Parts: sequence; C-alpha cells; structure tokens
Amino acid sequence: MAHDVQESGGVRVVSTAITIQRPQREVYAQWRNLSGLPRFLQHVKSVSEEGERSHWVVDAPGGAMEWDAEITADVPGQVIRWKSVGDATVVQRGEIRFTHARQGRGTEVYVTVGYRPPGGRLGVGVAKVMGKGPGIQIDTDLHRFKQFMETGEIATTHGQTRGTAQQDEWQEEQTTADEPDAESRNGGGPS
Amino acid sequence: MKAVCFSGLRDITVETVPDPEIILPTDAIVRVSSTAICGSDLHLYNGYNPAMKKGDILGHEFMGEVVDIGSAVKKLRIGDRVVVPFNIACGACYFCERQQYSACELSNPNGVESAALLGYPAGGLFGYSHMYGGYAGGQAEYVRVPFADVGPLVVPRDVPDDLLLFLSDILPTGYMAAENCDLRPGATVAIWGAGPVGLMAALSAQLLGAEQVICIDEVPERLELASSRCAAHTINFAECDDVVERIKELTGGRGPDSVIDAVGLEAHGTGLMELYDRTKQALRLQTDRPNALREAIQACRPGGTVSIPGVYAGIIDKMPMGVAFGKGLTFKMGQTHTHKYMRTLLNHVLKGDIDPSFVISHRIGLDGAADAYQAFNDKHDGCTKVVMSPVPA
Ligand SMILES: NC(=O)c1ccc[n+]([C@@H]2O[C@H](COP(=O)([O-])OP(=O)(O)OC[C@H]3O[C@@H](n4cnc5c(N)ncnc54)[C@H](O)[C@@H]3O)[C@@H](O)[C@H]2O)c1
Ligand SMILES: [Zn+2]
Ligand SMILES: [Zn+2]
Repeated sequence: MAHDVQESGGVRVVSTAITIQRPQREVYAQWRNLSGLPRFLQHVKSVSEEGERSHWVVDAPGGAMEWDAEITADVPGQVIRWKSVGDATVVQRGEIRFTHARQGRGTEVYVTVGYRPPGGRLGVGVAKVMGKGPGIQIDTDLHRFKQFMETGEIATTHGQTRGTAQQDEWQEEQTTADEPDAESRNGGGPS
Repeated sequence: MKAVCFSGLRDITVETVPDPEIILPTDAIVRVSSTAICGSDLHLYNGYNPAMKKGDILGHEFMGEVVDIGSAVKKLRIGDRVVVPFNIACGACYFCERQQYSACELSNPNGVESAALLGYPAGGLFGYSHMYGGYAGGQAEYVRVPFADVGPLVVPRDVPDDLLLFLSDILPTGYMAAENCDLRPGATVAIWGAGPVGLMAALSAQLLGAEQVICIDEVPERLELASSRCAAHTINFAECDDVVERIKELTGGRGPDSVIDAVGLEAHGTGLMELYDRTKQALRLQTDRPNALREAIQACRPGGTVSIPGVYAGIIDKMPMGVAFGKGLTFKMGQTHTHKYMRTLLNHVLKGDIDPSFVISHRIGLDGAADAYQAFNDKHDGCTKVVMSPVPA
C-alpha cells in the first residue's frame, strides 16, 4: 500500500509499488503511451502529448482541472520522470520505475508522486477527486493498469443489476445483534 | 427477473429487478436452474459483514444454462450446462497460475479498498459484499458470470442438479479441508460442525483414506446424517461435558491425527468460556467466537494437523497457542480454491464415489427465500441445506 509522507516546502510525497506479470519493455511501453492513460487513471479525462510536453485534463467536482507536464527523464524500459509546468498545479512531479522481478514474476513498478495539497475550494474538490486520499487513488489506478496488462480488461460491476434499496456507502456500523468489534469490518469472511 | 436481496440485518427480500447483461466481453449470462443457501450466507444475514449494501443480490452456489456470452468468450457456448465456482478468478494472475484461485489478485474491482482494510487484496466472490467485489449473486433467475472461460465447469445433461450443484462450493470446500489434513491411510479425523461443510469434509476424508471419522455438533438430525451417511462416530456437544476428553477416549488416549473446524466464527459453546466469548464480542473486544477451534487444538494429537474451512474474519482471544506450539501442530486454512477441485470431484460424482445430495432438506422456489434463511439460520425444521429452483420444473 502507498506511503504518503510530508516533505519540505508543503509538498507531500506518495510512493507505492506493484508487480505486473508482463515483460518490462511491454509494461513501460503501455505506460509511455500517455494518451492511453485515462483508461487506467480513474479521474484523468484526457492526456495529449506535444513533444516533451503533455496536457492533462482531470475531472473534478465543480469543473475540470488542467495542467501541463514535462518529461524530465525517459529511459525506455526503465524509468519515466516528469514535472508539472507552472506552479498552480496540485501534482508537482512524478517518477515511474520499472525493474525486473525475480523468479520470472514479470516487472516491479515503483511510483512516486509529489503533490501540493491545495487549500480553499480547490482543495475540497481535489480531496473529493482523490476520494479516500491520493495514496489509495494511485494504488487503485495501478491495480487497474495491472488488470489490463495481465488479463486484457479491467474488472467491473458498473451497470450490473441490483435490488431496489439504495445505499451509497458500505455500512458504517456493525448491524449484528451480537455487535462484534468494529474491526471485523475486515469482512464477515468469505464463503 | 426475480432475485434474493439483502435488505438489512436478518432481512431478506425477493424482488423483481432488471435482468443482468453482458458488461465485459469475457462475461457470460447463466440462467439458474438450482441455487443453494450456504452457511457463509448466514454470516451476511447475521450482519458480520459491514461491506454489504441494501439491495445487493445474494448467493454464490448456483448452476444453470449459458444463455449469452460476450465477444471474447472462447470455450463456453450458449446452451452449455454449467456449475459455477463461488470464487471469481481471472485465470491469469500469479495466484491463478499457481491454482490458488481464491487469492486471485485481479478479479475484485475493489481490491485496493479491501487491501486498505484487510492488508491484502481479497479475490472476487459472487454475492458476498463489496469487500469481495460487489458482484451480484446467484440466488436469482439469471446471473452475470465474469471470466466465463475460467470458472464455469461444463457438466453432462443427463445428471440431476442435486448431484452437481455442490461442486460450486461445499463439496470442494469439504474436500480441500480433508486434503489439508495430509491424511495417511487409516488416519483418524475429528470434525467440528456437521453442517453441509462438515458433512462434505467427512465424506472426503474417507475418500482420501481416513478410517475413523468423528463428527461433533449439537443438532440431532445433522449428527444422524453424519452417522448414517458418512459412517462417522458422533458426539453431541450439548450432552457431553468434556468433548476433548471424549475424543481422546475414542482415539486410544492420544487424540486424532487431524482435526477440522467446519464451524467458524459463529461457534456455539457452553459454560464460562461461552459467556466470556459472547461478552467480549458484545463489548467489541473480540470479533469471532472460536470455541470449536480451541477444542480442536486441544484434541489434536502431537504433530497433527489443524484444518480450518470454517470462516474467521477478525480477531480471536484465548487461543491455546502454547498447546499448539508444544504439540508442534500444522495449521492449514482458508477459502477454497474451488476451480482446482471441481473436475476431480465431478469425476468422483459421475463414478458414484460421492453423492452429496443427501444434505438437501428443503427444496423451494425463490419466493420462499426469507423463511428458508431463517429456518437454516435457526437450524429449525430439520433444515440442513436449502436448494432453490428459480424456474419451477
Ligand atoms: N472455506 C471456505 O471457502 C468455505 C466455504 C463454504 C463455507 N465455509 C464456512 O464453513 C462453515 C460451515 O458452513 P456450513 O454451510 O456447514 O454452515 P452451518 O451453519 O450449516 O453449519 C455449522 C454447524 O456447526 C455447528 N456448531 C456450532 N457451534 C459448534 C461447536 N462449538 N462445536 C461443534 N459444532 C458446532 C452448528 O450446529 C452447525 O450445524 C461456515 O463458517 C462457512 O462460512 C467456508
Ligand atoms: Zn458458500
Ligand atoms: Zn487471478
């Protein structure tokens, strides 16, 4: 799971890792095709590339957020680094590194993203976009990327049928008559 | 279509909902011919899983006919008769490659959320809460089956549903529990819980070479099935003041080679320990009641194996860890890798080595689901296993 730590100058840094059961070059190449990223990155609407620069449009409540980023390092099969252009943006810089995984396990992917938690209205919007926090969002996006790389699709229940009762969130409280510990929100266990 | 929905604590409703549709190209739609209620569904019914949402369609034991397939489905065909495993597995990931299907990393769309809560990403399951993917379940007229080329097992047309349905869960679960016992020919096994899972474990243990099987429960008709259908020795724990001592007496004073906990987190108990567990659970200091597991550890012979198919979800207390360590016990547990066992078990069923249908006590349509959940939960009315047929034959 992602780490999210405070760095100097109001910047926070999220880092995380995932193993993808595909060759290093293939994983790199899929990611390097920036305009294809919205398929995996849940809140990114579009990425357009113009040379070393790219233009990012992200869905946010109360309108889209946009910024430009610039690739600062690009070693095929190994690493891509970028930073944002201008200083009004939330995401400041990022790195994605690809290394060979032992025992034929494919590719280890290491991601680091530096961001500046914004204040005010924008901040609220970003917090919503990020849902449960940037760490979980980045992990979710990488999980989607992994699903696509390994199975060719991204598992979903979106649009499936269900009963009439509506409930947006998982239950906050245990409802059992025996009232087990809130910690058994780890699941009632499987089948 | 009609579907059995979770509507809150011990609240089951049968509703008319839209028919499921193909969402991804690797999906299939199955028209359900038979579907069962599982002991695991009772953990949801009793509110032990906070990741249920009202309106979720329940059910993970089902079979039927393929009526639609997505454009990328290659092996399965419309018209195939299939049994569907309760776990949803992608077939491609690190764990699926090793046949550890229940640990599939890619089938749960909420994998990251589940990892944030559990510390690992849980695999997808049908009808078993948003923690396990939020997939609509099979207690319905139709179900959407993801990864259709990976899970469903095509079965012959001329064999009745009753013989095949339990390949979806309880038969592989009992079998894996017995396999986890590392049985040598002539071995002795004691099994806590003579519910459907415990009974399947008893049958499987014999198939794998056990000579003496002891079943422990308090429900008379279940114990009767254990003795008449599984040739087991039975102990009614409600009428026995020291289950562990009784088992030792039956095994030459040494204890069984292997023990199976087919009860899990809702175990009933007696005496002070029961009061202690209920109080702790009520005060939220403990999430699960491990009476059966404690006894199993105490009864097992030194160097033996503890196999746990019964579900645990959280934290348990007063585990006799010193005894387990001192005896050098081996623990094996977990959710069944159903896909791995289905074909082997189908062959056993077709050859007549195993007939799991004797556990069925109730046959109903979907409309009777609410009453059936209650009877199965309360172990009333001789209710051992409920099978629902959405389409009246
Ligand atoms: N590992 C898996 O993948 C998997 C699959 C299916 C079911 N399960 C689990 O297996 C367990 C049993 O399932 P089931 O369908 O047979 O449920 P069930 O509720 O019908 O059976 C449980 C039985 O245990 C008995 N029992 C309760 N306390 C006991 C005690 N202290 N000692 C001995 N017996 C006791 C009950 O009387 C009942 O007969 C459940 O926890 C279920 O969730 C696990
Ligand atoms: Zn089950
Ligand atoms: Zn998998």
